[in-house]
Amino acid sequence: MTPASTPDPDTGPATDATNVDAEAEAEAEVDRIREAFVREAHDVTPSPVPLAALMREGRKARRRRRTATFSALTVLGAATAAAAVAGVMAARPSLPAPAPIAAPPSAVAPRVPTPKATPTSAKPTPTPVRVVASGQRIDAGKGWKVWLTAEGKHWAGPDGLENSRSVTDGNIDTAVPGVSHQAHTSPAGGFHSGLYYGTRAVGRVELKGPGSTRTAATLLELPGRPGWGVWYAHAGRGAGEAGLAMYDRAGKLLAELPG
Amino acid sequence: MPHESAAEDDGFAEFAVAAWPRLVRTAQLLTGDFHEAEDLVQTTLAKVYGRWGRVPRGEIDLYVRRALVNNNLSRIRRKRVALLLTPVLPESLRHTYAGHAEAVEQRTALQEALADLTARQRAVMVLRYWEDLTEQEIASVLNCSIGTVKTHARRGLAALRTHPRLAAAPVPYAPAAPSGAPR
Repeated sequence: MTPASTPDPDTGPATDATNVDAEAEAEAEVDRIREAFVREAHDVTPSPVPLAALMREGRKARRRRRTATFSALTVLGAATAAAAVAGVMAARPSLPAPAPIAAPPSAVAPRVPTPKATPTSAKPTPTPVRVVASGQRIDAGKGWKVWLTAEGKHWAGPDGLENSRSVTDGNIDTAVPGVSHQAHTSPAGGFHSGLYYGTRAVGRVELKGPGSTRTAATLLELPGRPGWGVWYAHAGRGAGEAGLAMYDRAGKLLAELPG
Repeated sequence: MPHESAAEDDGFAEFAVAAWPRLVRTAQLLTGDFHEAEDLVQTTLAKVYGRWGRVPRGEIDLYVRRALVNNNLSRIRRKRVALLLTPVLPESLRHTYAGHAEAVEQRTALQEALADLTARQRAVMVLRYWEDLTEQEIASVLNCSIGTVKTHARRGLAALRTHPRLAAAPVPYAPAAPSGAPR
């Protein structure tokens, strides 16, 4: 696709012409690629939409989710009632027990202890790093699963949709401390997770919310201190809006991600 | 419950019928296989229907595209696991992997070039050059930063430009005149 007459590179105007030619050539190439996409896409003739089948499947999925939510609420209700009763028993008998304050809106108690969302101004205390095997699916609570492989971070939501973030595709510079953030939020709160990297001495990753609210994340790493890991947390509304912070074990700020 | 359809549909049927052809074409570019493309769209729309009441009405297209791309990434991961665990590949898997002579022969130059990209690069290229999304919109679909989209787009485009069969493919329209005014 080189022009037939090659311009003389020694002269100024010719250089300009070369640049214009190169630009036009690049544009033509992009146009050609775009054309190729359109041709390829129109090369297929979609069947009629199987509306009844996909609506049937959708209804099934909805019923499954409702059943799961109902079960979770039942468990939560029982746990809250038990906590309230315990609170009443422990409190002075003459006073009405205050309504138990659930820290983060975590419905089902996960096997892994979920860090507390606490308004705090204290110096960050280190969070233990849980070392997990490659591919080991960690129950992050509320139907979320998180696992690590040498390739990076993987997670799946209650609906089964899986996603991943690579540490090997060249988009992350693991030589410099940093954190990434992926959020799945709803009006009630959300599941937050991400990668941390560029350090072998991570102490804490915090989600910064409105005011001075901080939510400490659970930390996961593969064996052998690879220099990166995964953090996750369930948090209420607004968590992470003010950004993220990563500290080392001595409480020194290593990296921040603006909100 | 017995009385579902009309009230619970709330426009879903209409949306699905209208969106189906384009989604299948997008999925065809993402998967490189027509049957997998239709399966992918069907699974995606079923999931979307399961949550139809919660899908923000102003963002249905974004929501569905995101679901489609994520479902495709999950499909590829499952396939990768299947490849690791299966000593002899089933026919349907063999035909979607580069290197198989018959499949390569049947593929168009573009599908062959796309097969060499990573799943995310491929998604970015499809969303950019078929769906005509902006980098910002692609970042929303992929739930990543614009910087990441730019990186994927740059690498993906470079790979397509230099792919031997795609680069050698004839230009499907008359080339611009030498004086071609830049746009």
